[in-house]
Amino acid sequence: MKRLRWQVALRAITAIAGGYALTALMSATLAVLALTFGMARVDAALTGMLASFACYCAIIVWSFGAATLARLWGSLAVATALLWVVRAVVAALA
Amino acid sequence: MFPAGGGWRQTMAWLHTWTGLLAGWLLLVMCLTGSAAYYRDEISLWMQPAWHAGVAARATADGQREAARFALAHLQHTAPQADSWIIDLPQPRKPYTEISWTSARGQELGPGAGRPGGNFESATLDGAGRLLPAARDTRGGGFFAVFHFTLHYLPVRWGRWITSIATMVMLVALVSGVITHRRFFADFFTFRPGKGQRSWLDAHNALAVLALPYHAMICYSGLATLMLLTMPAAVNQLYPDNRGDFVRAALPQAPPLVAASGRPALLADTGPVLEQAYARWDGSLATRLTVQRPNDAAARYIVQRNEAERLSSERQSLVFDGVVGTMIDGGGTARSSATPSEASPLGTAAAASTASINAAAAAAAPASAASTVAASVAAPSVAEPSAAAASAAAQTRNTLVGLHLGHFADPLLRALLFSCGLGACGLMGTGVLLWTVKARLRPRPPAGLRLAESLNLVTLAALPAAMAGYFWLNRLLPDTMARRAAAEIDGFFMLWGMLAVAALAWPSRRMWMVQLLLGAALFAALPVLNLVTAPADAHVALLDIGTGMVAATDAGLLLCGALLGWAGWRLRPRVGAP
Repeated sequence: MKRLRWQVALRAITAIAGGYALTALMSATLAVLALTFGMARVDAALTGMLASFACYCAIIVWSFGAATLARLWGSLAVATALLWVVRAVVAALA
Repeated sequence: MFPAGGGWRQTMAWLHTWTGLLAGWLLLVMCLTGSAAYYRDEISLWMQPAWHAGVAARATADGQREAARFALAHLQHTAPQADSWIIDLPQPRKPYTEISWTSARGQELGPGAGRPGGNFESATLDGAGRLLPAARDTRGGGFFAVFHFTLHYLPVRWGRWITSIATMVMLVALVSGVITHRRFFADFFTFRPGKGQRSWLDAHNALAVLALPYHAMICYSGLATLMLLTMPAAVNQLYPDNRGDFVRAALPQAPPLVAASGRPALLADTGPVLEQAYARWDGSLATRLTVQRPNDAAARYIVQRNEAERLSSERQSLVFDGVVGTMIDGGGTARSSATPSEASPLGTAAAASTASINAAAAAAAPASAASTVAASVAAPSVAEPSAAAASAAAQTRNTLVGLHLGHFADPLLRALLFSCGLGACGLMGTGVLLWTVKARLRPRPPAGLRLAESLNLVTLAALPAAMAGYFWLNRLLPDTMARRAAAEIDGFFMLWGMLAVAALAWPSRRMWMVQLLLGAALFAALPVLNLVTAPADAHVALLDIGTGMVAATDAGLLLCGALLGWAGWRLRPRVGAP
């Protein structure tokens, strides 16, 4: 029971805070990508924002659905690193 | 697997339960008041009984041209020296012409009194060009619309954040609910009434499955209307130094007030101006005619397109020379200048510091010709080339906001949207009821059960009764009362609060029945109250006020009463009842 509580707490924090941070990163990266591929600046920003809630929802669902915490954090870390690199590269090229 | 050994589906069921409990009651409140907001114009008209006797103006090209002529004549007489005039032309759901004007040039302006537009004065004309009695001080149906995302008493940002978070939780609950659900299509046809818990589950599933597209749409579009506040990362990335640039590009502002030349000149006739606009829009009607610097050589007419005929909430406007009457800008888009009268549904809330949030949220938010506008962010030039079609992203966003607001809907579709809104309330209501019914069956009922049962009552029975009470207060508070509009709203919360206290103290089956029947009686008596408190000449007009809007609203209120009455009647004490 106590272990379950810890699981719930850690997953909830990961989902809410981690999920928001990762979503923000995804949203910004998508916007930069869209801009690089020729979309108007204002549209690129709108695209990034519109897609964000679906992404946030997916991360929250995954936060509770992942089999283990290690797998959850591992996957989120990989996604963060990937997005970070993409954003940095694209921003440098632009 | 988490939690404790279940499979993926069990995990999703767990997530669905907890997200539902976390946000369900708040979502119910938002959903009920938001559904009422589909009828904000109808409610607002109902709440101005002194206007019911007026001659309804026709929402046609001819009707609008005539209305504009009446309005101009009145404004020339009342405020010939104003900086600008705003004429809100008759619409299918607004049978009168609202005119407003800034105080005259050189005249000391009165305090803005917190109104979004500041120093506006306004009046209303009927279809025969007669001045209607001064508007009763009320927020009308706009209160429900604004409350459902601001929660009224909270600071400007708080309410929007809280409702956005609740909506995000709803999205998670929807997704996890669908994953949990194994017999998606079979549940179209499954309903086993009178079987307690099983019946609630059947109803919950049927409501979810039948209107799932609506639930998903209203949820996601709700998030999209406030996304500049809640999810600004993309804007911060692309507009790191000046977020204002994005706001101006995505939500073009009204053409700034032109400078007066100081040379008097006669205004061009409005008829041909509107005619050009209708032709340009393939017959679409206009919603607002703004006159900048009337009676000056620099005068401008700005005609805004009627958004009600289109799905997207994007607004288009045309700019005309006010003296010659020729079109100078056919492409630009413009956000309406600050509305002096009622708060726009998603914007407003005053507070200058939140201008950008409001702009993002504003129902008015247009973003057509985004690329063109983006190029001329700093100084929106008046002579923009004709409009490129709005880009896909802007179009998507405008469509989402348009869907959420439902301005486009004709009466039948509006009724369907309202039913879907009630369906969403039913979905959430059966969800929270299902939880309490199941929890009560456990050998050791959980600690929060009593609170949950009370909250069910507060949202499902007390809130509708309080909403009916708001209509009563509109008619019973004296016209001359100070802060009258605020008093109506305070009264609504006081009534809801009292019923809530009673519900928290005695969350019994009898309390359910009493509060449901109270709401039913309050709603059902509203048509009578309307008859009794409207001025005598309004009675004659009740049935033939052009659109029959007031009579239809009465019928709708009666229907709400019948619905609550049916629910309450089912809970009457019976021998051998469960």
